[in-house]
Amino acid sequence: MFLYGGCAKHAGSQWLAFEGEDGGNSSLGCVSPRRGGVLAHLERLEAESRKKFEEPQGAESALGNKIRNLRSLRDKLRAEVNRRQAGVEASVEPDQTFEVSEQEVLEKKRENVKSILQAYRFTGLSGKRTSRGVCVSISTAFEGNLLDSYFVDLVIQKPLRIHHHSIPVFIPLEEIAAKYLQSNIQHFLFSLCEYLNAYSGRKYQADRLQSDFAAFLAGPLERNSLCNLLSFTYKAEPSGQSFPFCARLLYKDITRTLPTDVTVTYQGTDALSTSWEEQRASHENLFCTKPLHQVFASFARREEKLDMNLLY
Amino acid sequence: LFRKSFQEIYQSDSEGWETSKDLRSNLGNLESELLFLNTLTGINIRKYSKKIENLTSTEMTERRIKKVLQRHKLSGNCHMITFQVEFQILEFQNKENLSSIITDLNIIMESTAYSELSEFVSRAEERRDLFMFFRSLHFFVEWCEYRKRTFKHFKVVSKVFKFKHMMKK
Repeated sequence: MFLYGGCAKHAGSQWLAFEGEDGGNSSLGCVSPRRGGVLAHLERLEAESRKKFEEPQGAESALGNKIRNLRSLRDKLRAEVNRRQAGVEASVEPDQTFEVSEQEVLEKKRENVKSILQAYRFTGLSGKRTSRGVCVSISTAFEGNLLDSYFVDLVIQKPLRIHHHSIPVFIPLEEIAAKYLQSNIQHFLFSLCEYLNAYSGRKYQADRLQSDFAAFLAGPLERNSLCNLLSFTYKAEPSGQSFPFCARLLYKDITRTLPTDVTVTYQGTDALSTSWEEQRASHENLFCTKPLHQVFASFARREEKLDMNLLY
Repeated sequence: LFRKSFQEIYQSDSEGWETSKDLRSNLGNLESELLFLNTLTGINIRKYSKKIENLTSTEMTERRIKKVLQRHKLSGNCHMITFQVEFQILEFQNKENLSSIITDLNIIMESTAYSELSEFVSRAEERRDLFMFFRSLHFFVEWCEYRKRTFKHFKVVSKVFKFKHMMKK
């Protein structure tokens, strides 16, 4: 490759810069009327370039030699590294014996098994062996919130018997046991899981409504112990001029955390304007599709937005 | 803080010196308990570790508030499907109550041909519903096994199956 190097800067000259083949800048011309014109200068440059043509070869061969030397040095070093590495590996005994008592090994194993047993509660179902049989623990959760746990103490006998339990009385335990306990313990427990998780979830929603959104309630929240029938009067905008609505939520399917029947009514004598009627209908839909406390959270967000608008 | 040595803790737990024999029988009992839980839940947990980070500031301690972040990692399998689950639980305790919330849930499954599986896995992750994941996984595998047996019986080979009807919202 032709390299045009060492282009001297001439004082008082103007340079015409071009991009050479090598992508770099090689100045082609120096317009200097004092040096005998452009043509003369071009000839001088040409002569210089011819001289440089010889040199690059030399420079190239010098560089080439350097590269070859470096390569061979690299290879030698690589070989040395490999040799030494092999030597190190050979010196390490494959069967290194170190002192660890059997006791320590067993204890470590036990610690490990104990922790895995603990971890089973994260599957929702856990248990411990008892002298009579087994005590199963059912964990409940709702939307990532870990809630109450319940237990069922089973006696392993023919027939299988529930010794005692902490299942709330309004959960149809006897019904579920009659159906599945004798034929399929797993099915019995999973079914119980379903009922308990749903109950826990409904309870959680009602509790959150009472604790976090009391400002929206115009009266007490009426609820039954199974938390599948809720009745309350509320205002979507507690500070505003909105009408109080009465909501009645019925959860016919007690294995679910959303209501099956929702009625939102207006407690008043005048007929509702269309916009309020729309609101009423949309609220009914909201209660059917979103968890209770989240519906009120959305009301709260709207309130915030309205407040913000009033500020400006 | 005086820290007990590993051995001392065990010995104090088991009320005195424990012989290797006792240790072995105790371990045997625990392992059979593990096997029982495996059969009961259909889930085989092979590895578990946890890290606890205390996030309670001194100001919080003054107001009798405690905040702890737990990081859990567990891995195992449900028949032929292996999983790895990592999740965080934020424990918040004040004068009135204690709340535990799953703040992050990551479920890693080996890529399988079961597309329905990845569907409910992402739903479980979204909702941070750890229990739902394990229950669904168990049911899914059971259903697969049942299907296999049924088809074997009728000597039918099938590659596509609908699982959606099994899933409750």
